[in-house]
Formats: sequence, C-alpha cells, structure tokens
Amino acid sequence: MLSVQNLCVSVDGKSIIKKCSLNLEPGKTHVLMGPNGSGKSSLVYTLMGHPSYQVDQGAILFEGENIVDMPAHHRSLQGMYLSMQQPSTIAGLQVIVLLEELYKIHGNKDASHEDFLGQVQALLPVVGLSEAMLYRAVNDNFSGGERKRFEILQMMLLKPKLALLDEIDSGVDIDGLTLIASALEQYQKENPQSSIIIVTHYRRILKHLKPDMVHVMMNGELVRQGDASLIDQIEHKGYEQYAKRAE
Amino acid sequence: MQKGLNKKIVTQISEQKNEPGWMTDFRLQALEIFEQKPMPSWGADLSELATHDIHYYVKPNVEKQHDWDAVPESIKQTFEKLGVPQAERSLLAGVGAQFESEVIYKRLKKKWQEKGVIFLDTDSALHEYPEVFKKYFAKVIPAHDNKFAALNSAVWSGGSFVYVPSGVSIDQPLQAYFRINTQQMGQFERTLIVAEPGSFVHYVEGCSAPVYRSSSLHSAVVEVVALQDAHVRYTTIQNWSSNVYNLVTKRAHAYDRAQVEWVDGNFGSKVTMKYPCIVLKGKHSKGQVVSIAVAGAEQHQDSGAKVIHLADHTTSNVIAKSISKKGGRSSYRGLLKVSKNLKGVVSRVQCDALLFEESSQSDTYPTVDIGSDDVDIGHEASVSKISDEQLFYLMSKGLSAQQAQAMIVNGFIDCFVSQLPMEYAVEINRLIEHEMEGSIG
Repeated sequence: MLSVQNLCVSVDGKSIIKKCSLNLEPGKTHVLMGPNGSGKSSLVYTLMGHPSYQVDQGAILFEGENIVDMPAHHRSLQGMYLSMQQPSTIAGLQVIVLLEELYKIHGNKDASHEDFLGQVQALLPVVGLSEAMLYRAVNDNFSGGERKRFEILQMMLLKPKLALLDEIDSGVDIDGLTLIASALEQYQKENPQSSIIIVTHYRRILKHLKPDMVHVMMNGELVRQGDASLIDQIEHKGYEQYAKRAE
Repeated sequence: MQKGLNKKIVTQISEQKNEPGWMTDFRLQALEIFEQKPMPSWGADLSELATHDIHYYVKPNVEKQHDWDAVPESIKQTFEKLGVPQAERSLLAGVGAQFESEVIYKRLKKKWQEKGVIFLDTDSALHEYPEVFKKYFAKVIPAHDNKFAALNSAVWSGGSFVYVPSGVSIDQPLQAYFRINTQQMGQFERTLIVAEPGSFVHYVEGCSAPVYRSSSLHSAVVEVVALQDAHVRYTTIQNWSSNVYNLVTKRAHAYDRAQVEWVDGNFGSKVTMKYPCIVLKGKHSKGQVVSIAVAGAEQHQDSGAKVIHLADHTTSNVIAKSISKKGGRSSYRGLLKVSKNLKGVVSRVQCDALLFEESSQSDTYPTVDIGSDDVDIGHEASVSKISDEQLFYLMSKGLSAQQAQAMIVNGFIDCFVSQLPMEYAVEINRLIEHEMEGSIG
C-alpha cells in the first residue's frame, strides 16, 4: 500500500526529514510517535503533498506508484486522506456544501442529494455530531473536539485507503476520544483493506486501538520500529533511550 | 445614427421614439448639464473614457416580442450563453431583455395585469402611462445629480418601468436581462420602480457581456420610490466585459415604514462606479445594501453604498464584500449621513475585503456625517487573504487549487448569495468558478 523509501525532506532549504523508510500493508494500523518537533507532522504533510515540503531524495510509493510529484488533491483522489492537527476554518462555507462536493468527487459523481444526505446522517451519531452542525461554516467556532470529530466524519464518508491522522487525539476530551476510537474501529471493520497512520504523543488513544506497528521518530529520523510493546517501553523510559541510539 | 453626442443627435433620439415635447426638452436640458459638468475626479480613473467615440442610440432590427416562440433563434441562443437555463424560464414571471438598447421580449403574467401591475420597458411606459410616468420620472435622480445621470437623462433608452398598485404583493421576482451587444455602443437604460403604499416587489436584473476590443460605456439610472409601508427589493448581477465603463446611479426614496433593499453584484468591467443610495425619508423606514464586487486584472471596482437618514427611528444596514485578484483593485466608498435632531437612528456598516495576492488592492473610503446624538452606529471593516493552509486543507480533501479557491470565495460571499433567488445563486456560483479559472499560476 505505502512504501516510503529513503525519504529526505527540507523546508526553505532546512533539512527536516532524514532518510526515512517505512512500509505499510493494507488493513494495518501504524503509530508514529516521538517528542514535539521530531518531524512526525512534517512526515505526514509530505506524504500528503504539502507544497512547502520539498522532497530532496527518496520515493513515496502509494500502491506501487511514486507520488512525489503528485499534487495533494490527486493523492486524495487516489485514496489518501489527511486529518490535520489544526483543520482550517473556512468562513461562510457550509459544512454540507463542502461535504457534498467532496462526496461527489470521491467516486460518487452521480449520487443524488438524498443519497448523500443519508450517508452523512448515518455517520453523524457515530462521531457524536448533530445535524445542526451541517449548516455551520467549516470549522468556524468549532471546539477542538468538534474539529477532530468532523475530520473523522469526512474520513468515514470518503473511505480512503490510507488515512493519516495527525494528533487526532489532541484537544479532545475523554468522551470525544472514546467516540473517535470507536469510530476508527468501526471504520476498519467496514473497510478491512484500509490502513491508518496515527501520529500521537499520547498513549491514551492507543489503549482503544491495537496498532500493528509503532515507529519512533527523533530529530527527523525514524529511529526505531516495533510492535505495540514499544508503547510500554516509551511509557516507562521516555524517548531518551532512542536519542542515544540515534547518535 | 452617428457616433458622439450633440443637440441634433439627442433630438433625433427623441424624434425616432416619437416622444412628447416635455421629454425632448428634458433630454436637451440634460445634455447641457452633461456638457457643463466636469468629469468626476474623486473616484476611479476615467481619463481613457472617450465619450465622443460612442454610439448613443442603436435601433434594434427586430420588432418587440411578447411571445417566447416568436423570439428569433439567434436571440434565444444569446439567452443560452447568458445562462438562463430552460428550467428557470417557467419561473420567470416576465422576462424583459434589453437587446441592442431596446426591449425585444416582455411578458407579464395575467394575474398581475389584473391587479394593475405595470411591468414594461420604459419607452413603452412613457407612451402608455404618461401621467404616472411624468409624476415620478427623474424625481429621485434629477438630471443635474451628477455628470453621468445627466448623460443618461439625455440619451436614455430602454430599461424597465414597474408600477405596483397599493397593497399588491408580487410573490415572484420580476426579472430582466441586459446585455451590451454592439461594439462601442453605450447602454443607457433607465429604470423606474414605483411601489404604492403597502405593496411589495422584488425586481431582478442580470447582465453579461462578451469581450470587445474597444471601450464601451454603460451608464444607467435606477430610481425607486417606496411609498408608505411598501417593500422594494432590487437585485442586480452585472458581469460586464473587461473594457466596459460601468457608471451607474441608483437611488431609492423610502417613505414611512417603507423598506428598500439593494442587492448588488459587480463582476467584470474596466471601471465600475456605483454606490446604491437609500434616502430614508419616512419614520421607521429601513434600508439595506448588500453588495459584492470582484476586481480582476486591470479592473477597478469603485463601489459602495450611501444611506441618508432624514427621519426618526430609521434603520440602515450595509454589508459590502469585495474580492481583488490578479492585481485588481476594489474600493469601498460609503456615505452615512444622519440629519440633525433625529431620534432612534440605527445603522450598521460592514465591509470585508478578500485579497488573492499581494499585488491586488483594496481600500475603503467611508464618509460619516452624523447630526444627531440619539444614534446607534456600528462600522466594521476587515481585510483577509486566502491562506496557504486553507488551500492545502481543501486540496488534501481532493479539491483542485481552483476548486478550493472557489469554495473559499463562495464562503466569503455567502451572505450575499443567500440574498439571491435560487437560480441566481446557482448562476453566481458558476460565475465565481469561471472567475477563478487561471487564478492560480
């Protein structure tokens, strides 16, 4: 599904990701952990094609195709999805208008409005959002938790093959976290071939999800990967142990 | 008829239309005023406007039509290009189309005729309803109001005349489409709406023009009279080709408890100068101006609103949105005036500008003249730029850069679009998408 090979990335000439490689199989959940500023967000932004992130070296293969030169919207239409740490506000743009457009361009060109609405209405309770929210402006005056749950709603509507969830658990209260975790669980059950990369530095969401692999990032490098037991190691000993290894 | 303007041409226009003597005199007086008044220098740059190089009247070569089937195919095709979908035509209460300066097609639903509603091209109204016409014509905007009102007064042709009798409410919008057709042809339509006490009308006009090489001039005058308890809403969508000088005077008089709304969308043109005005003459009258201006490369949208409070307990609300892209310039020019010793006056003005890039420009020229103490005035202005983060947010969801921009712009102007009838809202969204084409390098 995804193969990142020896990826080197810079922003404004400053190197921020160094020789990162990782492989992700269909249907798997990977976790990307690391201290603040270690490059986790930069890596997922690069995977999604943010224009500020310059790939200097290496390849990103998505379903066998190198997408390094592909613009973000084509990556999305190919089946990639990014939930940003801080989803942008679009003043005046109604949620329902955006959702319907996204739904249509993601393989439902001829869907009727009723069909679309039915899909969305079925998803609202899953992420704990009300119907009234559909008529608000995108992320305008949304709480931190509402923003994140709205991102999950979009993911469930668009059914990407690969979802990159950047700190989907930050700014979310405990109830919200439980909702997000169970929504992700439901999503994976309904889409067994879809994969997820979760970026986090909290442990709590990982109690709900069972990651297949954990990657640890330090100073722009992937310094360690392993199974879920890594999470316990980090819990007990912090990231320091890997910093030494990186040197 | 030849290019340019003089007494002979103005007299010829009046003669060709077989007008009464008072109208010929009115036109000739207006011509003198036009010639005397200097070009306005306080606003947009008009130095390249060559008023001598324009055809002031072009007689159409088709006869007036009242039946859709009888409208020539070529003109129907023009309607297609203007984006009046077939499905909407059944909704059109009466379609007035100004084609080469004269209305060729006009239809009015029978039930309204029975109620005494008049919806006619202004030339016909002068002949068929001379008394009511003379009573209201040029009373809100006299010829000496400004140079271009004088020009329109001298050479006006076409436009709509709407008269709504006392207590009559027209539930569907009256619609008219205008278009500049002949190269270098000026378009000087004259619209007059009279709403008798307790009546309601929503008048909608839309314009679109193909691209021509040399400059052309559109200079309309729109007068609205809303008598006691009447409610008039006037919606304009203009999309002129990028060589047109669009210099329009619009003013409404609102009497006791009357309500007037200008909804004004300005796309295209080389220069637009347009400041819809509402004079709140009667107690408890209300005025609202909601506008959007989009300025692209080498375009200057100089628009805004004027509200003059002359009576107690009057309320006004102005929402002006502007978008500047590819180096275009939008200016908001507003006047808020409250005369002396009034009670309970409330006014809100909000202007928001959206810039696409650093080279685009937005500026604001508000004039506030408050003569009373018992007023509640609010003025807000904002300037924002489409951010890279917003664009990436939407692109990461699958929208192209162009679609993403259109979404952001549609959000920005939502409070304007929500004022429009459904079919116009659809049209505006289409226009915005078209405007966004090639906006990203």
